[in-house]
Amino acid sequence: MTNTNWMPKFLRWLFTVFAIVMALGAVVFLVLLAFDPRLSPGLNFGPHDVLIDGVPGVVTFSHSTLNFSVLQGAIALTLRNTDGLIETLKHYGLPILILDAAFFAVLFDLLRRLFRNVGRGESFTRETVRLVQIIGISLLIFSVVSALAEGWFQYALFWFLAHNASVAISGTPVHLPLPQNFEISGGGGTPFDSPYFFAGLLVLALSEVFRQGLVLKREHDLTV
Amino acid sequence: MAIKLNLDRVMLERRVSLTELADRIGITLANLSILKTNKARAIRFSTLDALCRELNCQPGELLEHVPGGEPDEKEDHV
Repeated sequence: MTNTNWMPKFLRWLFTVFAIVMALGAVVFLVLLAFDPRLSPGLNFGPHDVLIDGVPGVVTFSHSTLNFSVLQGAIALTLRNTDGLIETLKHYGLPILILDAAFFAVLFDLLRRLFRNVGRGESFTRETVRLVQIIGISLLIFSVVSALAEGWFQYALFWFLAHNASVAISGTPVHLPLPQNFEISGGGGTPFDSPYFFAGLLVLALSEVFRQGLVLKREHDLTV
Repeated sequence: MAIKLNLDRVMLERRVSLTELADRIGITLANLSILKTNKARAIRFSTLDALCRELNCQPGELLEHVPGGEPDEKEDHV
């Protein structure tokens, strides 16, 4: 069998780095939320040629209005009140990023502690089993919370776009509909489609394997 | 546990200390202590053989069945 003794140590350090990066990310997003960024009132730019998925388009920004057109003006999007868009992204998008970063910082810290125990040869201890159970349950909770938060953000964004954006196709204005219902996001409309939900179930199932391993280890330890 | 190991009584009769017996039968002091305090869930024939050889006794002198003793299930709950 291939020697994989290095793996627990490597994973422990990898998860330590990830936990630090995520914690720093959460702090950066919090600072951004506190700083309240706004566009300069006199800011104008464009027209600039851009490529979206290989389709050429033109972007212009002037007097707090963003114009975007593709296919030589056949489809044009006009967004008024760009400060409002930034406010919407800030108040509804940044909290989700903070939530994600904070959750992953905690998750990676739990994984770091798990692999610290595994590296010490303490794979089947009460603490290890508890850590695996906590990781599984937190993934399940996160799948639901994350789906609710993303649904909340999409609702707010579509509500803003319906009030502040207009689309014209071949010169004919198309009305953007108001979002009718608050929809839970995260895949096909439910948290159960989220990959975190199934990862959580898988980890919880593995925690039962760890629990039975602990019972066997105790049996072995008490056989003299 | 319904099975009791009377190691402490036999050791006292033979005037053998825990450290000395551990050295003679080649198991750790911690494991011999588990046997002496009746915390063991099982005993290997090889360990029983070594104990009987060094203490010059029969397995029946070391092992005793205590009627009415309940199986210890607590250890299985995690």
